Amino acid sequence: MILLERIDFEAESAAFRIASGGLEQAGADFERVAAEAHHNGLRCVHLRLPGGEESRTMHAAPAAPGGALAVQAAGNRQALQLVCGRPRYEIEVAHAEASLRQLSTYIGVVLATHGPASHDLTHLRLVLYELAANVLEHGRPLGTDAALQLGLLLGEHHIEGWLQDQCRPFDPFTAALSPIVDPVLHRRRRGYGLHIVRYFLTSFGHEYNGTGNRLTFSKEISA
Amino acid sequence: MKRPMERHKVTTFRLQELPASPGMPLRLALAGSLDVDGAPILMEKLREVLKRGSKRVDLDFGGVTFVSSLGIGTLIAAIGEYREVQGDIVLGGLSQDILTVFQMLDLLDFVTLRS
Repeated sequence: MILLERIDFEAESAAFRIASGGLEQAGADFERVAAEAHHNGLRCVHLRLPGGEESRTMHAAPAAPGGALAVQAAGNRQALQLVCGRPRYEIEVAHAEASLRQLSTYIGVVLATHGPASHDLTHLRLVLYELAANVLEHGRPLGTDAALQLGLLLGEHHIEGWLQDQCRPFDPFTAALSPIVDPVLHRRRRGYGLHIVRYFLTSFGHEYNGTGNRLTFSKEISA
Repeated sequence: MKRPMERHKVTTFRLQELPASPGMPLRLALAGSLDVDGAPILMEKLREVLKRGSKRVDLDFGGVTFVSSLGIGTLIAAIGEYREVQGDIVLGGLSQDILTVFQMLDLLDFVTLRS
């Protein structure tokens, strides 16, 4: 039996340190580890090993409905990774306005080919486009080679994801919105993307993690 | 996963001027994504049409799958330019998904929808 100690937590993942025991025990006991991960609502668990464990990989049959389960150890990175959950899609683009088309196409293709059949996906695509556009047009990169990462976890009834930039702090979920004024012709021409983002998402969050802004979001999907 | 719905197709913006019927507004058929790439193309075309003297334009959104906030802002600006000269832009063929966004931004009383 191994004893896990959680040392880090994010919306879709957590890091645990093996407080006692080792990799062999982890492999033998992975079902319990997987059950603990699911119990905690985690999609991805990283087990960082304390020493120079040898690299090895272990696979197991799905341990949860709709979830693939794999326990992987990468000794050279001192990490043991347990992944359980829904299909995960990620992309990284350069922080440049020209990347918006690439990102928009990726979002459209992933949702169209792997997402559930629902009109909600049209609005989710719009939300992701607006979030990315906001970062790429207005974000202030911390370096010349800054990147923007998008991750999506797709489920039949629930989609969640994250957007990680390398910019100065900015929280689009609490920032002041351009007012929706009447008459319409007196409105600013731009600045309504964040209205759309907040309206169509089920939940959202922001944290500044030292290297950039990490936005997390989710949307319930109707049939 | 189920197969995707037709309207989730990813397409670039396309615009086609349809042959004019006598006494009817000039009609532009739009398709694809009205976003940061499509919005300037539409604005340029609408200004060109206005310069040619057509003060009423019918925009057919039947092939449009996606309208970003910039696309909406561009439409508002263009409608303003047409109304300044007592013209108007009529919108037709908007999907329910796009209409929901218009409603959320309180635009349904502002735009002229084709009946």
